[in-house]
Amino acid sequence: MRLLAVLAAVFLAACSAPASAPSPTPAPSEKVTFMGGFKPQADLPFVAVYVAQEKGYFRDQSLDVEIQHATSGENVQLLATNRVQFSTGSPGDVMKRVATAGVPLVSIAQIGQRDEQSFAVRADSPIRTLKDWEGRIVGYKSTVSADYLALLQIGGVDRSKVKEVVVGFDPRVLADGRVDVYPVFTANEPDTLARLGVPVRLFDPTSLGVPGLGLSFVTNKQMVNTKPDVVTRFLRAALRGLADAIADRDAAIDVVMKYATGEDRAHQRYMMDTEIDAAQNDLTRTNGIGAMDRARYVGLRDFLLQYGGITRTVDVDAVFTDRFVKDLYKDGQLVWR
Amino acid sequence: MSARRTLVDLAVAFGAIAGIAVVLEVWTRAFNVPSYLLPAPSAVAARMASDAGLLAREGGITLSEAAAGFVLGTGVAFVLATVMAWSRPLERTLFPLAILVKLTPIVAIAPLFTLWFGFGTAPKVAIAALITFFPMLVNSFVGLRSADLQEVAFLETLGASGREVFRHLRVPSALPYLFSGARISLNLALIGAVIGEWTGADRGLGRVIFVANANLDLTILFGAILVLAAIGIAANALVGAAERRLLHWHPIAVAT
Repeated sequence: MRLLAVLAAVFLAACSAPASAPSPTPAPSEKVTFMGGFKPQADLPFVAVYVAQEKGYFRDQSLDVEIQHATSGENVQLLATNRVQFSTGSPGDVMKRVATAGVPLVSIAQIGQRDEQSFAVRADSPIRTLKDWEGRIVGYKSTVSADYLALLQIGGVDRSKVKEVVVGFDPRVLADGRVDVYPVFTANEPDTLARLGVPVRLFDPTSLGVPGLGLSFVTNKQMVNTKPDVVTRFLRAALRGLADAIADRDAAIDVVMKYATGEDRAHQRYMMDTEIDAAQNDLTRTNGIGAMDRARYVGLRDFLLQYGGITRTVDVDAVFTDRFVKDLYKDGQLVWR
Repeated sequence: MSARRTLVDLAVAFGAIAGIAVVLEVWTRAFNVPSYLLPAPSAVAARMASDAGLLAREGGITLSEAAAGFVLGTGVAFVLATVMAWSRPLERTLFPLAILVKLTPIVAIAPLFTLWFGFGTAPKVAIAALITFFPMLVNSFVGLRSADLQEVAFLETLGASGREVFRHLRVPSALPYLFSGARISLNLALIGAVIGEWTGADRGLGRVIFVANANLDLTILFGAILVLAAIGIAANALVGAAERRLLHWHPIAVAT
């Protein structure tokens, strides 16, 4: 009986672990820098890198990875000048930077398959439908987003009847009742508000048909064109770290807390769990986590153009590539070599 | 003479900026620096010309918030400094509180001002007032205490009341310090207004800078910074002119 249990455990471990291939190819060690697009926390791409670093997957891929974090968006310029080789950002942000400033960024693995942001109302709010936004105060973080404008159209909302106010990045304005609708980062701010004693309900743009996408791994064109093997090795290690994090979330949070010192563990767990849910859909179940669908990038580009998220078009094939992720998976399983 | 001196001050300041611009123009062209890293000054100038109306409107808003914050912050500071100069126990009570205000990281508490004062102009004015408070408090306090004790005693022997000593001796003695505090506080008020706009506003130069930074639109970002600098230089020149006019009898008027 005990032998059966051991065999079953070995079998299950083999099923969940990335498929292995023999004959590892030694590659020269390469020093690269990953800069998370925000402070250390349990954003899923960050978790993937933390775990890969902790478990030595980068070293196994002959990579010497330095982990840094941006404080105010400097990762974009550092990435563009190749002082940082890998970072994170949503495809919408990548398109915006390419469209407005010609920054040579490329999304190389799509971790968040859903929009990063939602619109929150207090759980006890009488606002039940988008149409109910009329006559209410709706906040926006810095600029009126394409998501918001799309939701108004989807809900048949008369924008002139909505009072829009810029609210910055502090969700307490919803808790305080200064706004009726507040745009939240879905992965963390609902939990922050719940901890303030204000549980919320969400209007999720993705569920309502808005074609947003979450965080992706991003590199620059120079890396894609001149060091594709380094890009592949980085992603292979990071995605293995991500697979480990999904398989053992407690252990992953242990690793996260080494980086996110001073943060609340339960809050970090909430964030990671939310982003793990958002990282999986039919596409990833077939093709693996990080899978990319060109049609979604075209849809996102057209959507941003329609609602003023970008003012000029971008070549979708220049701002994303799925060649790396495709090479890493076989039958939906990450191939480790 | 004073107006001419002010014009010379402005000319020198803008000349220095123009000199730096020439160096940067050569640098960006010679090394083909991308505009999202460092825009050529000519590109910034072109953008400022094309968006002159926007920059003027937003600059006016920031200036009005800064001016209101300056008046509020320095006014309260002067009143408190007067109280502290008049009473040692009150000085010992209030000064630690003033240092607490000084050491509070404005950026950290700026979002709270929106919660306390709402989304309008009030939080920006409050931040500008808070940030200008301490320099004016210290300068006012030291200035009011700087009156010559023998002169105080002389006025008292003539039967001057405390109010008369304050008006005719302490305040004039403090004027150089007050102007020094005003120079520091004016620029801080502008920074305070920008910080307030940065944390949540739909108008003002801070808002322009915030959005430009998010979009990597550095031509308008530097344009807004230059407008802010121009406002600061002009405000300082005005204070300098007022200082020379009011303190024509004082050596500092010759030195500035």
